[in-house]
Amino acid sequence: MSAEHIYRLLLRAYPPDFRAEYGREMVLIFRDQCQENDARTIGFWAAVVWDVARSAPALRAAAWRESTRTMEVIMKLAAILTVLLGVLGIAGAVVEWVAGSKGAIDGRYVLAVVLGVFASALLLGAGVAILLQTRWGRQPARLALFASLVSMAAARLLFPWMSIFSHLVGFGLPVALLIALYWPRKPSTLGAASIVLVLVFGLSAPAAAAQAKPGDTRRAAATVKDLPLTAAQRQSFVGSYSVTLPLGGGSVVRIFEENGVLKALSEAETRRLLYQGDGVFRPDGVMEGVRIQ
Amino acid sequence: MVTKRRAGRPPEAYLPLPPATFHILLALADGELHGYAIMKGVAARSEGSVRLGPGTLYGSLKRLLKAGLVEEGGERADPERGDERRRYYRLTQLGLSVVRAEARRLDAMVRAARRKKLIGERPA
Repeated sequence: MSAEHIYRLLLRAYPPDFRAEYGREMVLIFRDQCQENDARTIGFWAAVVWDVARSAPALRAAAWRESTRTMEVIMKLAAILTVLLGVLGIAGAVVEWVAGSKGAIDGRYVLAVVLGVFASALLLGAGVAILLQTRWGRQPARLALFASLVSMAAARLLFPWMSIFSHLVGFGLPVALLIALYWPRKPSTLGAASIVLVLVFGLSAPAAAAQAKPGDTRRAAATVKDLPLTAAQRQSFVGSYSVTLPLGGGSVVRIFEENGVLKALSEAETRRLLYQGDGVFRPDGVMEGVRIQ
Repeated sequence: MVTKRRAGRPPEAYLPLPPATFHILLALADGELHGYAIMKGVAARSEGSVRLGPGTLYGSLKRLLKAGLVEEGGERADPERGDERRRYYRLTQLGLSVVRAEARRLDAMVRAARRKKLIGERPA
């Protein structure tokens, strides 16, 4: 192993950024030193090792302070974003509640909305806890995020048709923040990745919120059946009915057949009816099914 | 070339300078130098009492660049050594003001020591 090779190994004691910036120059100087001194003496190597031992820790500490400061600034931005999204989450749940309360709503739905408000409030609290940096450290924020995740999971079980916005804010954001909080002071890849995730969620959530409507049915569409009906069966359902839709309010619905499919006309709005079996239909784009008798 | 300069900070605000930093700035007062030339200049000027290793030198240069006391003067091969291209460094106007202020400060201290007869009129 040559002297230069050993010196290159010693250079690993310096921070990567410093090596990238000055490593080549340092090796050039080492070559100069080797030309003018006997690189086989203990004195030469003692001076080399002493120089590395004296300067590398200080540079490492400076790099660490720099990265810690950057991480803390990013965490504060993420906390502000969390507070805003918590407020937005509460507002969203209230809008959902208002939209839902126009029609007949069941207990599961009410509980899901309440849990959603609770989870958003916890998110808001976690954001405030990160911003305030209480004397208990980041533990309150972690607890709030865990509780928010649990609440959101419970709401998701009760009400599977959450909007994309709710999923992003309710699950993605707390998970990313938790990862960031557990790796806050070490500039690790995982910590950095989670910070990026927080920012991505934060930036994409408003866009998703703009697209999402109360009671987004995209997830519901995955489980909706569209069972075939014979012409006679279709005919048996044609007629006028008094129907109470979960989110649409009560109204008179006229069911008619068009091009071999059943459709429902209610308040000048026509929707295709998807047969779920056992006399239950689900209007296309509506989350709840209705039994036609 | 963009170097960070702390506007409005007087040269005296950087004092006292660490010995290694003062020696580096003093070496650069002669003009643009690359790293090894700075090291040789410092060793020669201090008659071997101050020997900078590459780590100490570039650690100090990094801080001086950040403070705006030194700036990079480009890369070129040293005509005397005739080998690979080396990065040159030079003093900024602020760096020159700071090294002058430090020299004045040290000079005042030496004069005070002379008045107290702690040292002779001329260095031994």
